[in-house]
Amino acid sequence: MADTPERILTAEAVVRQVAFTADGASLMGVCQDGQVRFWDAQTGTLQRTIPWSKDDLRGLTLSPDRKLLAASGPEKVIKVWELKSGEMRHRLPALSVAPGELAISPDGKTLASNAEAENSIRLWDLATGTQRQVLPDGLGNSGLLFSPDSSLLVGANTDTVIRVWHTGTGKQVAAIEELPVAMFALVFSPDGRFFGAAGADRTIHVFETGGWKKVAALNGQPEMITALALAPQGRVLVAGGFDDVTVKNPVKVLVWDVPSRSVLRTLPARHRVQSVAISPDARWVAVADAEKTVHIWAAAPKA
Amino acid sequence: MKFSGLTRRQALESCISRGLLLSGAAMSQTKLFAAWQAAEAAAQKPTAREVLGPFYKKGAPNMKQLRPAGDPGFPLTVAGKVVNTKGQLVEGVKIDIWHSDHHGRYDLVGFKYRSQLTADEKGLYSVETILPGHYDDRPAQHIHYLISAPGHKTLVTQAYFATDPFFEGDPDKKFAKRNIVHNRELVRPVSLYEGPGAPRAAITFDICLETA
Repeated sequence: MADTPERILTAEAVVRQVAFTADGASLMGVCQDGQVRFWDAQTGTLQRTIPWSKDDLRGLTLSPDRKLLAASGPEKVIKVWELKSGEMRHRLPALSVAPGELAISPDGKTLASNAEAENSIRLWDLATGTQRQVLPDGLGNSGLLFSPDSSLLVGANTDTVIRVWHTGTGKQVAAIEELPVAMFALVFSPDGRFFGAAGADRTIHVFETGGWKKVAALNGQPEMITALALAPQGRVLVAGGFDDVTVKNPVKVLVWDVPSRSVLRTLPARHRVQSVAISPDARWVAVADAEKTVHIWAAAPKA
Repeated sequence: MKFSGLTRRQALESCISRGLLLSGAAMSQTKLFAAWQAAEAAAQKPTAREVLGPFYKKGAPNMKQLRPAGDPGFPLTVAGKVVNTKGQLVEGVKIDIWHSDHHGRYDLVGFKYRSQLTADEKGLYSVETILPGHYDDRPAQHIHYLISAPGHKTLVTQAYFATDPFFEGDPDKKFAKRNIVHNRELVRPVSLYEGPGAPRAAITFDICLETA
């Protein structure tokens, strides 16, 4: 059947973030119960589970190299774990409010954190566990992402402005003010030349990162977008989200062919897509929903 | 703060901080204390903050009538006064308000139930709209506010309704339920009255800004 996923992976908790391992053989799910689960991407069987946190998790991010996890809870602390050993590497205190949004740079050197009530972004040195910079931010941060070369940090806000900082100097280098509503999901092309943002207007807005000018808008998503993933070659893009009124409504996940700006496939999801991922070979799409499951689909419809 | 609980030094320092001693040299001590008491009486606590939420949309038109003819929502008047913590009127205030329709859905395409209001020469604002609906993530009815004025801190907050079934008829005890509403004073009493042709609701939501 066209609308049946290739594999259904089940967890005992909501899967907050999904990622394929670098070899594409396994799918990892960072779960709300403080465990990371690894499944065989081909068979869907659970391979192993790494327990790492007993906290009530709020902010959560997996480093792009999948080696580190950072999380925040209701306390004014960020904890950073090494995934291989399951050991806590840093406990970053001295925050005035509990942080929400978190991001780790691709080079693994920097953690960015934001808290709703703080209107600033903090940059932390992950080698020493010390605070490096405080960047003045807008109202209501709704997303943080580092560029592929780790030189830039992008912060989206519910005041509808997207700000871009140079991570070395801490200087703001650009601000995108043309978007009418808030963006919740951010993505960079692998070469860093393009940046995509999607959110409440159900559109993926694409900007070139030389002058931060808009070059495309991908329309067609029926619900607001909260999760984006781009394949390593930059050709396949996946977007998912949830209905802004009734989060229990079924939703659609769209798989885009980036060069032609056309939809390759529309996948059904039960409700509230937490996270999406694409395999390194761009053949498989993983969708984590609020039902404690991950569905794996073929990215392209069968011929 | 009670005057009787203050030392003379504290009262003088307070007068200085409120700018009352600019003309203090010509004032008797009695007059000075009277002026201080008047300033203390006018002083207000800044309005409590709430989160901005995901559905703010910039560029809303300045509209006092947000309820189109035949709207199925329950008619609501929202009105209030904008002052700063010294009780003074605030120049150049912009009040962005937005809320959902009666089903709990926000208009993200146009500007339905969205407005950027101004205050009149008495610091008053008002808007004709409808009671917002409920939605899953934020099951308490609410109106969003984003208020800015030169020389003042931008205030992001929300107004709630004491008649909302979410508060189970007892907002004093139930306002903090599910960690959604963070401050009792943001839950406003609702007046219900017979309007022309239909019952109507009204709330007062006064705003107090902190100076920057």
